[in-house]
Amino acid sequence: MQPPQYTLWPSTRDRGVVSAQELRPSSHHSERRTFDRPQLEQHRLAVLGSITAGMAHHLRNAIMPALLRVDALSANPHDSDRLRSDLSHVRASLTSLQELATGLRLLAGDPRELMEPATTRLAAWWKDIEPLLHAATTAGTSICADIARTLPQASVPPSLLAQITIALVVNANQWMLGTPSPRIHVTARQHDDTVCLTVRHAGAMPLHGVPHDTADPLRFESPIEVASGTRLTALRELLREHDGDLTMDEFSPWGGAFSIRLRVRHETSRGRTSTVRVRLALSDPRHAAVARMVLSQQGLTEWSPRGGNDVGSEAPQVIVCDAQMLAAIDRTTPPRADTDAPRLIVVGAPPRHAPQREITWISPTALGLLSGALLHAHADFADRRAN
Amino acid sequence: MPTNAETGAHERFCVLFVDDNEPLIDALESRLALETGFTDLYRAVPLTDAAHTAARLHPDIVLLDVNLSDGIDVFEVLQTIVRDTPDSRVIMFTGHPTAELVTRTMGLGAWGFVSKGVSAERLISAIHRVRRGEAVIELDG
Repeated sequence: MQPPQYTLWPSTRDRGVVSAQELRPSSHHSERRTFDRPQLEQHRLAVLGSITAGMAHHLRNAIMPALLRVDALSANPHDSDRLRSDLSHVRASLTSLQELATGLRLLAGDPRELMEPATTRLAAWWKDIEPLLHAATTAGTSICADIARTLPQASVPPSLLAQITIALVVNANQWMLGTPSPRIHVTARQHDDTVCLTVRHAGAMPLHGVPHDTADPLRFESPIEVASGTRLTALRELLREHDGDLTMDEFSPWGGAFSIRLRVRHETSRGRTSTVRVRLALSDPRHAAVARMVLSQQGLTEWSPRGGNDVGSEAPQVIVCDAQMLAAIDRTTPPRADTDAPRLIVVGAPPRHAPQREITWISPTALGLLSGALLHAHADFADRRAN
Repeated sequence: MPTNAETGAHERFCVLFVDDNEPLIDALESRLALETGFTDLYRAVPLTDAAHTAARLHPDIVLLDVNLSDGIDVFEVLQTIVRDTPDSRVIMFTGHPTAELVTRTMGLGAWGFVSKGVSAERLISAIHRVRRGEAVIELDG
């Protein structure tokens, strides 16, 4: 028998006195349990994520010395062919483990902490997540892929795409339970401005109505149950934040199939992307390297003058420079009142006579602020253009 | 006049390892010994003296692990080396790279940031590039 639950009524709390009569059995304890369940589940997943990230870290610390030793042993010219062959197999196994560690980290790491770009090269990405898919499916499941190296970059962060793909494969694995030859085939094809990643599996078709439910944006209000489509609609919404989409095929000669549609990162005819153009004028190579990493994370493009033609629509929209370069930049950049004037972000301390224009100053010891400053500059530029 | 490091010519140079993972340092020494130029390889023992060891040896490169044991504050070690041994270039080395670590350590003066998930070739290339004056961020993949 469950022990009774008690609620302290506000009147007693106000007086700071609790009498036995005022402690009443609560009728809400079952609601409380309902409320707690998702929180406990989230906590469990967070713990799992921390453990997995820690395991990936320890795996790397163990694998790297082993690979270095294999390298050193392989360099000995007196070794026999047999030994070379053995070492080659050891290296292959260690490399697989290293890829698994990278994949674990990709899946378990906090996307806000991971230094990942806003775009994904699908062929390289597949190498990282394939070992995880083998780990996530029943032993003996055949997993193969057809993803060309020539495909353009997709506009989605690698860890998000990994999370979605693994969820789909785990879903497919459930539908394949009892299938004599479980198999999963992943293909990627470009269609104009999109790349379509299709996950086919040899399982039974989902329950009637699930494909429709997957496309229901309000489906999150339903409880998450096996094969109900509720998880899928959540994954779909994640993709839609990146202009992508997720659909389930109603019929496939194989069994079931999911299709992930991703926007291609555009390259214009002049070889530049259509995203915000940022000019970097940083004399310290360390600051420039960090700035390039941040641009890659945010899907922004580094602008560079081509043949000295840096005017009109091709001009940079944001300039990141240091204090030494500021005077030169100030002379050649239109004033702020001009709609096309780029926003200025300067790494360094403001000089006594700073230019009469709006500048975001960032201390070299606080380069982490560059990410937020770029986002703000980008939004501000877009607002001014819209008005 | 450009130095040998800037022209890429091979020469002897000195690397100091600051890491509590001894099997990793042993293996790194074994692997780097196969490369031209990597003749003076040292390790900081004890780790608490890492900055003093750097000041005494004046290594060309310090390979500094981010997660040091014994409660050592790696950021303090980095700042001390940058301040007291400015001719040594520090490369941060970690199995758990994050954006915050990259921006913080490179803002404090590190010249490189290399993940322990990269191949030996990429690590060696990173060391050479940093010696030439490039700032290098080598991550997974």
